[in-house]
Amino acid sequence: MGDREYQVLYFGPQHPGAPGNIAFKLWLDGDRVVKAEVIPGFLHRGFEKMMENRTWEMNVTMSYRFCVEDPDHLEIAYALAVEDIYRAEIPENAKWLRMIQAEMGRVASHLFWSHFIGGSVGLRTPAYWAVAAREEILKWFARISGHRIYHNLSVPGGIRYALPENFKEETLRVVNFVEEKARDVEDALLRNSIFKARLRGLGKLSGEEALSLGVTGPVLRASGVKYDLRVNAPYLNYDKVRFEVPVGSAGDAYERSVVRFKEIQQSLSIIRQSVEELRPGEPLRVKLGLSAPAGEGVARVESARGEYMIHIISQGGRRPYRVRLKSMSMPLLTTVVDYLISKEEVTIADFPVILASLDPCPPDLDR
Amino acid sequence: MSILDKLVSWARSRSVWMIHYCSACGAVEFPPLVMSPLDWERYGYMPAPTPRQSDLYVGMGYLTKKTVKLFLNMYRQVPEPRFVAAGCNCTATGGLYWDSYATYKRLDDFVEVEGWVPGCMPMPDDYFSLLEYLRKKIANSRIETHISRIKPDAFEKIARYEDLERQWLKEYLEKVSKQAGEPINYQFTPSYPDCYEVSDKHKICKVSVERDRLRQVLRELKEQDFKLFININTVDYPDKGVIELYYILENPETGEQKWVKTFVPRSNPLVDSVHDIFPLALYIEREVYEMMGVEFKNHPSLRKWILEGNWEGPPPLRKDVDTAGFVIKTMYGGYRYGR
Ligand code: SF4
Repeated sequence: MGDREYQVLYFGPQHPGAPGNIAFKLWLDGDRVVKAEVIPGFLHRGFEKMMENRTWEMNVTMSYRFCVEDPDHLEIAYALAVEDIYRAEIPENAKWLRMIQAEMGRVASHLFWSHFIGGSVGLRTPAYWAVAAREEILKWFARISGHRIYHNLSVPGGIRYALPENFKEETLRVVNFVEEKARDVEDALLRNSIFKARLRGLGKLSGEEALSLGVTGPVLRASGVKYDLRVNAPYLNYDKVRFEVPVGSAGDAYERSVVRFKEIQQSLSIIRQSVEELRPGEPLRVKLGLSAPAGEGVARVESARGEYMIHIISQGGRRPYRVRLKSMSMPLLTTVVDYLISKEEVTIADFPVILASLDPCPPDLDR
Repeated sequence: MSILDKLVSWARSRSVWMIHYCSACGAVEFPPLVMSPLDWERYGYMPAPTPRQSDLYVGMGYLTKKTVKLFLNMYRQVPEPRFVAAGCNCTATGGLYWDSYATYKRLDDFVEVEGWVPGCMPMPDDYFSLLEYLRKKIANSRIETHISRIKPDAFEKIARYEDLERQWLKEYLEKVSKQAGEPINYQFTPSYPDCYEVSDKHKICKVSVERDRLRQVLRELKEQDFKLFININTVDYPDKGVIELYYILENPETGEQKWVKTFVPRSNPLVDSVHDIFPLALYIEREVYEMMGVEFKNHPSLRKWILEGNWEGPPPLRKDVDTAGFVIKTMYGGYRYGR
C-alpha cells in the first residue's frame, strides 16, 4: 500500500480517545481507516530486567506496576509463582482474602472501563457514577492495605497485613453499594439507544477468529467461547465457590459490554461467598526464607483482561534468574485491531470505540 | 501591578487548563480528581484536548525516553504563559525505576519545573495542594515569570545518552563476535511427543524439540486443539552458550498448556518464524528479537518495536548486559548506589 494514496494520521498518544499512552499510525481513505499500526514503547521500563536485579521481597512492588488499572491479579500471580518455587502452602485464610482482593480488583477495573466506553461515545454521566463507585473500592483498599491503587497486599507467603476490625461488615457494605451503582451504570449505558446504535455490530469477532488471534478474557467470552481460567485451571479456592462464567454470542462491542457488566455481578457474588469463609484471628501468612531454592515457578490467573501468566526461574539465592511476564493486552492492541480493520469498515469515529470496547491496558504491552 | 493586571491575573488563576495526556501510572488518580467525587472543575480546571489550549503540563509519573522526546515536542506548542509540574516520585528522582535503562530520572533535567507532587502514587488531595499553589502564584506574581522554559541543553543531553548507548552496542557486538567460535556445553534431548516434565497443578506439559522441527511440531499441536498462542519465553544462559526458547500453547477447552522447548546457540541465534501459524507470534517475535536478540527467519518486519526510541544499546535481557551498571555509570556518575 503506497503512502501517497492514503492520508496518514497519527492517533495518540496525546489524544483523548487513545486508551492511554500509546499511539496508532492510521492510513485513512476518506474517514475510513484502512490500516493501523500500533506504536508502543511510551511506557516501557524493562520490568523483566529490573526484576532480575531485585530480591524476592523487593520484587513484590515491581510485580504489578505494569497494569495500573488491574494491579491485584498481577500481584497475586507473582506471589503464587514465588510460593511455587518455595513449595510453600499458604493458610486458607490468605487464599480467601486473595480471592476477595482479586475480585475487588476486577470490579474496579471493569467500572473504570465503563468510564472509558461511556466517554468514547459521549455518555459522560454514567461514567461519573462508575468512577464514584470505584472510589468506594479504592477507599476499601486504602483501609486494608494503606494504598489506593497499588496495594502490596499479597506477598509471597500470604497476606501482609492483619485484617482491620469490622472487615466483614465493611466489605459487605462496599459490595452492596457497588452492586447498586453498577446496576445504575449498566442500565444507563446498555439501554441507551445511542449506545446500542453505536456499538451493535461494531468490531465483530467470532469465537474461532478470537482464538486464532490469541485473545483471552472477556473479549473471547463475548464471542461465545466459555473459557475462564478460574474454572478451567482453578487456582486459589475458585473451585470451592459457585459462580457463572458469562458468555455472549454476537462478539461485538455491545456484547463485550454486556459480558463485563455481568462479570461485575458474578465477582461481587464471589466476594460475598469468600467473606463468609474468612476466619478472623487465624494466621494469614507463613514466613518464607530469604533465599529461594533453585527451581521454576509458574502462575496463571484470569485477570480482568484475560489470561495472565508469570514464569520465574530461580537458580537459588536471593534474586530470580529470569522473570517472564505475559502481556494480556498484546493481542487486543495488535492482532485484533489489524484483523478488525482488514475485515470491516471502520471509520475514524468508531476507532476509539472499538479500542475502548476491547479494554486494553497499554503499559502491560510495553512492560 | 495595576488594578487591571491584578484582575487579569486573578481571572487567569481561576482557569488553569491542563493537557489531557495520561503519560504514566499517576494518571489513574485523575478521574477521581476531575470527575466525582473531588470535581476539580469547580476550581476552573479543565483537561484540554490540545497543547495549544493549555497552560499546564503535569508529568504524571516515570519518564520513558520516548515520552520525554514527545513531551518536549508537544510542550513547544503550548503558548505562554505555561507551567510544568511534576507528579509522582519517578518524575523527581527516578523513583522505583532508578535502574531502568528506558527512563530518564528527573524532569527538571529537561524543563524547569514549577511544582512537585511527591508520592507513589500521590493521593488526589496532593494534587489539590499543587493547584492551590499555582493559583496563588498566578494571582500574585507577574506574567513574565509564568514560563517553565525548556532547558537549553535538553536535546543535547538526549543525544548524548543515545550516543553512549550506541557506543555500548558497538562494544557488545565486538565482544560477541569474538566469542562466536566458543563451543557450547549444553545437554539437549528432544522428547516430543512425550512430556519431559509435567505439572498437574498448573496443567502444564513440557516437550522439547530441535529448532528445525519446531514449525512442524507447532503445526501438529495446533491441530490437536492447542489453538491459543500464549507467549514465547526466552532464557539466556551465557555460561552454556545457548538461549532457551519456550513456545507456550494452550487448549481453550481444557485449559491445558503445552510448552515447546527448543534452543538456539548464542553465536547464531536464528530460528524459524511461526507467524503464519499463529498471527500473534508476529508481534511476540518482534519483542523477543529486540529484547533478547534472537532472530527469526522469514519474519516480515523484524525491527525494533517497543525499544524504538527508548534504547539504542544491546538487547537488554541478555544476561551479560548489565543495564543497571550502565545506568549508574552514565546517569549517576559512577556512584555505586547501594549495589
Ligand atoms: S512514583 Fe509510583 S505511581 Fe508514580 S510513576 Fe512512579 S511507580 Fe508509578
